[in-house]
Amino acid sequence: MKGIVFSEFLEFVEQQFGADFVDDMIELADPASRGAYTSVGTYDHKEIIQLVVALSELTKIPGSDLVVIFGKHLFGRLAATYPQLLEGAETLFPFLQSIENHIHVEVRKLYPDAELPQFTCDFPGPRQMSMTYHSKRPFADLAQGLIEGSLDHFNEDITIEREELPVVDGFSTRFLLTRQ
Amino acid sequence: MNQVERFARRCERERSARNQAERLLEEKSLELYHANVGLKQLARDLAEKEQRSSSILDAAVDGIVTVDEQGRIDSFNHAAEMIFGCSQKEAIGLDFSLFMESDEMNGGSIGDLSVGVLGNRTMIREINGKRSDETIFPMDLALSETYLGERRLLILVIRDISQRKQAELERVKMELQLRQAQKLEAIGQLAAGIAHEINTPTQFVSDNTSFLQDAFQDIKKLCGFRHRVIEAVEADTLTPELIETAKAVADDIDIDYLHDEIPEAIEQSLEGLRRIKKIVGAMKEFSHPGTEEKSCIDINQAIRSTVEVSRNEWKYFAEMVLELDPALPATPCLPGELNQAILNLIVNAAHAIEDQAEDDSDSLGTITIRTLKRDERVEIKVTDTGCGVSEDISGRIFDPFFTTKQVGKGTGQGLAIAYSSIVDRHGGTIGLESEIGRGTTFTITLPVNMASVKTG
Repeated sequence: MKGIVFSEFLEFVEQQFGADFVDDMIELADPASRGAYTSVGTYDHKEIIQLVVALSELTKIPGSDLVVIFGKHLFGRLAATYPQLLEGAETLFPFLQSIENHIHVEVRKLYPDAELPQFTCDFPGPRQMSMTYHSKRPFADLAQGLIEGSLDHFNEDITIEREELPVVDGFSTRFLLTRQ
Repeated sequence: MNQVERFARRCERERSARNQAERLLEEKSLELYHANVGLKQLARDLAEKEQRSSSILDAAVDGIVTVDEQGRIDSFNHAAEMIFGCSQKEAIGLDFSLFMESDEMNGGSIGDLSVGVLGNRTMIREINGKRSDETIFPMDLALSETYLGERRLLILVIRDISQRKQAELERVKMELQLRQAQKLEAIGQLAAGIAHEINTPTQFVSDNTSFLQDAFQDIKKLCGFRHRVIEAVEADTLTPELIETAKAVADDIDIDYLHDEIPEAIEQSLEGLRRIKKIVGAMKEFSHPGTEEKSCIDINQAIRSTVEVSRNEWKYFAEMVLELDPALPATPCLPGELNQAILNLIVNAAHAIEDQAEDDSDSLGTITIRTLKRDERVEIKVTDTGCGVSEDISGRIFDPFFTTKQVGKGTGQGLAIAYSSIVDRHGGTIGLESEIGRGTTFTITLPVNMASVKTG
């Protein structure tokens, strides 16, 4: 997993819970990299799980909720750091559609070894978009947080329904977005 | 954990992260360096390839031009500069249609011509090009397309065919001259025979006319005595001596003989004159003035005329049998050329029979000419009972200058010209079936329908 997720996660914890929480979380999680992350590095995705579990234990907030909130935070940071990724997208649906064919393509140019999740989009109804997350890693919560973050960005009246799909060659989750 | 310890930990994490970042930076710098070296090598390779491609393009004999979808010139090689008389610098960006004759018959613009060009499929058209000095010239244009990313380019390979066209014109002119020469040769060859054919009736017409002239003098003499007898009767002075003298004159001139022979001499003379008229008519028909326009003719009559003028060529070796279909429709032909082709086949048949008859010179062979209508075609079969054509030479028999005849007897042009005339000029066919020692049949077919006749 790319280091930006880790470094942003530590930033997020520091912002939300204070600098001491970061120390306590790292001490409790005891990750292999000992909590020293650089955004351009690559780290084992299990470390983020260790950190989330530790944070959940410290805050008594369910881990999945923490990851969703972090996803929203991460979207804001990515949008601020890489504004070009949002260029040309005026509404949520086209933006989400561009992730697989545009944003991920650009990410792979910078990080050829990046293991990215797959998103498939379709439109079951005139006001609906279905976005299915598929990954070898269980980060559907992070995907949900990112989608919610983008929804806040575009400020549209859209509801999100989440459906877990059977585990076949990885984890799959479908997000049904309905424009009100 | 006190604040000092927390701070120390944070410092340690930051230091560790900085070390990781520096290591990554070094790795990426090294990767960048190697990538840069690779890129430079790639750039050199590309420059070499570009140089090589450019050299090949400039060394090509054909003009090679690429144009974009709007027809604007994108590249223009050296040969194209030479062909169009325009430098690459001047040509780049111009509409290629400026280098084509602006004539609807010329296929329209380059965009119009490129419709239907797909992928590697090359479309070749012969159109008229235009040089920078406005002169028009014929060119072969091969069109294909290629894509540079999303950008479609048309590749035009241009060959100036002015010289080839000129050579073709020369060839056609030579062929015409050759045909004319062969016709003259044939007429020259026939002239002696025709002179002989005309000479025979002329001779007996002349003899008969001399006889009639003498007979007239005798009859005039008899008439003189007859007049004197009538005058004597009217004057009542008729004497037996005068009667006897008149009888003696009648006996002297053999009036009974003249009575029988004069009508016969007149009839023979008329027959001779009819014969001469027929030969002259046939000659006139045979030497039909050459024309480039086909006209519908009576093929049977053309055959009869040709048989007539060639009589002296075959009558010593063969009997001529004509089995001409009276229901044959008028057929579009170039009359002079068809007559020539039939004459060549008749002469060829006569020579084949002559060769066959050398051992047994008393017997005559047979030349049979048949005509019939078969579907939308007229068929002419010329069969001889001559020596035949062996299989090994039957494939070459229509080749120009191919001959098996002795020197001076054939130029090898006869059948080649018959082939060219029937196939190229009439859209017909000509073929042969032959058996050694038994004879040969040449079969000509001609289309009856004017629309299906290819104009040569």
